[in-house]
Formats: sequence, C-alpha cells, structure tokens
Amino acid sequence: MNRRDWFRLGAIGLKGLIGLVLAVPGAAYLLSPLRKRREDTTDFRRLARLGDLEIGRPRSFSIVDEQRDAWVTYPATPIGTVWLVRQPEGAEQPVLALSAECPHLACKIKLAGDGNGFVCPCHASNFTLDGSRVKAISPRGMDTLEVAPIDPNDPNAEVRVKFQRFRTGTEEKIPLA
Amino acid sequence: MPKRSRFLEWVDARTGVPSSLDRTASEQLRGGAGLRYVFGSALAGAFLIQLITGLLLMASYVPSSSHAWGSVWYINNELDFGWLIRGLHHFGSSAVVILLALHLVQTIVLAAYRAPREFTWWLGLLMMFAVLGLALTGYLLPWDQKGYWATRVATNIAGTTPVIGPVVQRVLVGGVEYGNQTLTRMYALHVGLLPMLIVLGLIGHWTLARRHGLTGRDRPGRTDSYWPFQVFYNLLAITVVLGILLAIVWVNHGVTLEAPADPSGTDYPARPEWYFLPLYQLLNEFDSDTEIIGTMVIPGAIVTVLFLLPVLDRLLPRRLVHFGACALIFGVLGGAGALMTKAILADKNDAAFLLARLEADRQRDRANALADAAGLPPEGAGYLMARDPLSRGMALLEANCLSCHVYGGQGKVQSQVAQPTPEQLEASDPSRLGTLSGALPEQVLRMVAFALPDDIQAESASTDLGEHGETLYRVEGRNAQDERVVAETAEGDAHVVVSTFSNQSACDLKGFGTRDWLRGLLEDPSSPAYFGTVPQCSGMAEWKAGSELSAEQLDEVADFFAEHVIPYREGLSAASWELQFAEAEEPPPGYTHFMNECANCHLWGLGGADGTGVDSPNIYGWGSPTWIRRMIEEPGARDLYGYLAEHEQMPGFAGQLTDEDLDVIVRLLRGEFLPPVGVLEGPDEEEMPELIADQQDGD
Repeated sequence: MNRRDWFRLGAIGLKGLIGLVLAVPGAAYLLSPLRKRREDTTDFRRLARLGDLEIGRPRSFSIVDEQRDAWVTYPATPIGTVWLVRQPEGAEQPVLALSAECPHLACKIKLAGDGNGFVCPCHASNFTLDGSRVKAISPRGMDTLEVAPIDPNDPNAEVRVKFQRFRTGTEEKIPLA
Repeated sequence: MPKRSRFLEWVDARTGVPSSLDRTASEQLRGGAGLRYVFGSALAGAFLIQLITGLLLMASYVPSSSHAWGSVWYINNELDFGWLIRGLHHFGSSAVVILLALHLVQTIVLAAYRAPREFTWWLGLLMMFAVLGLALTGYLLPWDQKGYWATRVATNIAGTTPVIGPVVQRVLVGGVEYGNQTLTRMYALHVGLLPMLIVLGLIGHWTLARRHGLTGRDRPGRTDSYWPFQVFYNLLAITVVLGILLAIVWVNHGVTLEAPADPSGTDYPARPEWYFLPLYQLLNEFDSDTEIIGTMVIPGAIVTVLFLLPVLDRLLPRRLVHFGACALIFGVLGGAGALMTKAILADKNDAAFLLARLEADRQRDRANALADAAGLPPEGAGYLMARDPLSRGMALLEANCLSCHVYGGQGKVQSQVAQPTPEQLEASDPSRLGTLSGALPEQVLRMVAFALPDDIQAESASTDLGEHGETLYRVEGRNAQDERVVAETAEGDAHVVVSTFSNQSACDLKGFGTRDWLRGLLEDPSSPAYFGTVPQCSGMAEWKAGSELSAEQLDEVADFFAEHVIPYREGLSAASWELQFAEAEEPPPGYTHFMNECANCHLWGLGGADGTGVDSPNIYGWGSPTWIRRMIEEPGARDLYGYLAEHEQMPGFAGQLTDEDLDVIVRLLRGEFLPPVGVLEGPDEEEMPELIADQQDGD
C-alpha cells in the first residue's frame, strides 16, 4: 500500500462513516411508525340492550372513542361501526357482532337493499347475514367481533362488544395492534 | 486517464459526466493537498447535512399556526431520533454560519476575489445572503415563543427600510397579522426558494472553482491530485464538523422547544440566534430616530464594499485594497464579537431578563407536560395553554381575583426588579430605612433604599445563607396600603427584587367547589382559608359557635353536597330537586342535618332578604360550574350576596371574562388540571386521564 492507497481507503472510510451517522438515525426516524404500537383499547363496550335487537334484522352502532392523530387528541368521535345481528332462539350466541370494515379494502359495509345480507359498496362484495361471503371478492368473510356473554332471556341484558381492527386483504383474520 | 468500463464509455459519449469527474479527480493542487483547502468543502458538507436533516424534518412538519408547534413537539418527543435530527438541523445552522465566516475570511486573506474569480466571489456572497435568509426563516417554523417573537422583530426591521419597507413587510408576513400566511411564506422560502438558490449557486460556484483552480501558495516539490488526497482532507473536515455537532446535540439532548407562540403574551424575552446577536446589539446601540444606521446603513455599507471588492481591485492600488479588505473583515468580525459579548453580558446582568427567562422556562416545561399527558387539542397548540387552568387560569386569577382572595395561601405577588446605576446608588439615602441602618452592609442598604418606593415603612431586616454559600439579604416592610413588601438581594448582585404581597380579604380559592373545601369550612369557618378575613360572612362563625353537629354529621353534610348539590343538573328547578329528599322516606342524613341547622339561613333557590330576616346566599347547586360562574359574574344578585351593601359585595365580572376563561377559572378552583411536574403521584394519578380529557373538550 502506498500513500495514495491510504488516502483512498481513508476517504472511502470517512464517506461511509458520515453516511452511516446520518443514515441510521434518519432511517430510524422515518421508520418510527413501524415500532410505535397502538395502545390496546380493546375493552368491551356497551352498544345496546338485547331487547333493542330484533331477530334477523341487523342494526348498526357507532364505536365512539377518543382519537389520537399523531400529536392531536380528538374528543370522542365515531371511529368505527359495528353491525349487531340478533340470532334465532337457541343459537349458541344470542347476538352476532360484525365489523363494518370490509376485509377486502376497508370500505364501509352497508345493509343490502333487501335487508337480507350485507354489501360493500366499493367493490360489490356481498355477504350473508352471518357475515360469510357470497362472492369471493373479499379474501374472507366479514370480521366477527367478540361479544361478552349475554343472558338470552333478559331483554335488558347489555350487549357488550370488543371492537378491534383487522388487517385487510388477507385470508386470515389478523388483529392490527 | 484510467480505464473505464464499456457502460461508462457509453454514458460518457452521451453526457461527458465521467470525463468531467475524472478531470476533477486528477486536478493537480498547487503545494499539495491539505487542510487549508477544506473550508469550502466543509461548508458545502455542512449545507448537505442541513439538506438531509431538513428533508427528514419535512416528513413530519406542518406549516400551520395551529399545528406547527405540535408537529415539532412530536418530532422532538415521539419519533425515534427526532430530537437528534432536529438538533443536528438546529445546531447545523450554526456550523454553516461559522464555516461561512471562515471561508469568507480565508478568501479575503488570500485575495481570492481578484480576477479571474470575480464571479466565484459574487456568487459566494449571494449564497451567503441565502444562507442568512435560511437561518432567519427557519427560526419561525416551530411557531414557539422564541421563533414567533424573534420573527416579529426581524420582519419589523425589514419594515423600517425606507420607501419599500412597509410593502416588503406586508408581503413577507402575508398581511398585517402574524399567522398561517406568515408561516407558509417563511416555509416556502425556507424549504423551496432559498435552498434552490443555494444549490444552483453551489453548482456555479463549484464549476467556476474547478475552472480557475484552488488558490494556494506553491510549495516546491509538492503536488497532489484532487482524488484521493484532497477528498480525504475534505471528508475529514466534514467528519469533524459532524462529530462536533453530534457531541453538542448529544450533550444538550437536542434542542428545546419553547411554549407555543402566544401573541397576547407580553414578557417573553425574545433574543435572536447567537449569530444574529451582533446585529441585535447594533440595533440597541442607536436611538429610534437613528436606528436605521444600525439596521440598514452599517450592514448595507459593509455588504456594498464586499460586493465591489473585485472592482476596487482594478481601480485602486491592489495591495491597498487587499489591506483594506482584510482590515474590514477582521474589523467586522471583531466588532461583531464585541457586540455579541456586550449583548450576552447585558442579559446576564439583567435581572428582569433572567426573571422573564425563568417564567419562559416554566411555561415551556408546562407546555411539554401538557402535550405529553394528553396530546394537543384539535384547535391547535394555541389552546394548549389557554385551556390549562394552571397557566391561563392562574394568570386570570392573579389579574382579577388575588388582590382579595388567595390561592393555596398565596395572594397576589407583584415582583419588580430594581437595578441601580452607580450614580443612582450614590444618590440613594439609606437613612430613610431608619433603625435598620445598622443591620446590613452600607452597600446593600443603599440598594434597598433605592429599590423600595418612598411610601414604605421598613420593619425588619435579616440575612440568610443561599444555596451556593452566598449571603442573602432581606428587608421587610409595609406600604401605604398596609401591604407586606419584601426586598431581597444577594451578595454580589447588582439588583434588588421587590415583592409586594396583597392583603387577603376573602377566602382561599384553592379547592373551592369541592367536598374538601366545604368540609373545611364546616369545621372552622373562622380560618383565614375560609371566612376568617371576611367579616361579611361572619354568619358561618356564629352558626359554628352554636352548632350541635358532630364531626361525623358534618361529614354527612359534606357527603350530601358532594353527591347531590355539587353535581348540579342544568334545567332542574330547586323545588323539584328538593322534593326528592323532602318527600323521601329516608332522606340522606346530610340533608336532614342541613335542614336542622343550615336551613335556618340558607335556602335552596332563594337567597336571603326574602322577608325571613336572614341574610345568606342561595346554595342550590353550590360548587357546580354554573354556581361558581354566576358567583363570579353577578355576586350581587338578589339570591347571592345582594343583601350586602354594594361596597361590601365582591365586584362582579359579568362581561369581562369569556366563557372559556370562566371555564378555566372554575377548573382551577376545583383542582381539575394536570398537576405540576413532581406532584404527579398518589391517588390523583388515576383520575388524571379523565380530568385531562374533560379539559380538552373545552367549550
């Protein structure tokens, strides 16, 4: 190695050092959202009384919560919608809770015109009243949400639902945390 | 010529870029490579660091007067290494300015402005202005107190330019008021126009430098090619700059963010960034009628001479011009250094500045704690402090209530700083302090005598040992209004802090409207915390003297209030509210005790002077925001204290406070706020999220 080589290596080394010193924190800074986890706010929320629901007639309920958008905290506003479907008597679960967020691309699912199923207006994916797919546009059926145990004989029993979001576009139901 | 791959040959045939890079790489340096050639490259390197960190900041910054502060707070506190990126960008601006000065000095000393490098010189000077423009515009972007007030000053200086000044100012500010338009305009300059000008300028500057070669002395037998020898030194210099920057950022843990800009605030001690301090001090050197000499004439003359250097070089004897240029640049730097030192020393010795700085620090920490606890309200950072009972509420309380009331035992304290000149000290008369004359050193007595207003009767003097072992002197007295006045100074200080404490003539407001306050009142109405200093409310003490209620029964009364009275329901009439207890088979015990004793004077719904001959305020809904607001606005209402003679009533504040202000005062009284740092422990902590959420809802 002659003097020229030493200088060459030195220059390359310094260039790498400067690059690293800037690139590492820069990348970490830009990639912060990957590390930041949403706080787990999956408590059961009271949405309705059992008596409010009629068998086979879905009703939608808003999930109202405080919302944090980076540095801003918004006071309680609707952040999502849940469809509650009262099941026929004798069913394992008296109420079925379905998230209105389409598992396809996250559009908002509405009740179909005849009231006998759900439809997502964005890509016309149809679902039955139990949330399963009619057409294979969405990769999976509507996401069911956990419902706290209810006494099926008490019309005043509270229907409490754990609201969660799931990753869209996957066959599996993967909670977003 | 080194061998190139076929691909590079192909590129070269079409663009010529590889050849041109090769020519640069093999450029021969007179006298060999070395650190003396690094300044330009180090400057460009520092600028590059600014570009990179600036781009990163742009990924999270919002140029809006509502949300700029929040976004910067988020960068500083929530994003990984955000503090480091922002710190590098902040201190990097200082590095650019320092390297710019070094590059400028070297260029002048080596007379590198001479033919044929005139355009290199002029381009460099233009870029210098763009760099200073970047520094000025960047200062405002966080929209914190510092940036806001410093920019107000800077744009107002621009406004004093003859003829075009007002127009320029209005265009820069985007109107008359400072706000969103100011921010977006500064932002466009800072991230768009100015960096673009500098990048274009740099390309030209660099191309010209390559064309004319570096200026240096020949050293026999030593020539090096640019690559890798000079490149190594350049990178070494940039590494050193970056290393120093990192160390500074690390030690300071980034750069602080002051409290959000508060255009209504009055005492923020605005100072520009250190490299603008000389200009700031120059401004202070002139009276208002000659101010323009400091803001325009002197800087303008220096700049003009610099621009004309290559021309003067042709017209006048070259060595004379060179000597003059060197004298000018060192004179300017020396003068700038002197002015800067003067400015720093002046602040260091200015007690009023230091006090304002302390207050600004307190606000900064509070803003940080609030943002940390619950984020920012959707309306923006301006409401962070305005909805904080401890900030806005306390300021309102001090301005409106604490001349009579106290809060936590503390009344209104007005502090003033007196800093006598030697002549004033000589002229002051310590003998008027009377008997205290012997107790303190002559010098301290003279200072205190200067500081205390004439109407003060000095009563006592004491000395104490301060934190750092210095002696503290304290003189207490009373003024003509019989208010307590305390003058304090420390050994070696050139100033005296004079604090005037208001006299309490009304109850302690801390906790007013809560169960605890009420329970305390029922226990001992004659305590100064309640009606001890309020002869108008002596009825409570009379009741206490004849009361048969036990401590437990008083607890029950307080419980009844906490459960049924304080949670007042809007729209529910007193009569129908009372029926639920009056007709109940088992009314709450507190209600029964109330009816037995308190109802002799206090009525639900109607005040005194209703023919019963009893004077007392209506306490239906006592402690609720509605009741407190009414008490603040119309204490003289018939159902409140209307039975008192007008001069004995509390003054009403109807129409003087906005709804938001009333709300923030009520929450301050009831203790509904984020506790100051260091108090956040114990059972309160669990209630916090709810309290803060309430606070954010606002009105």
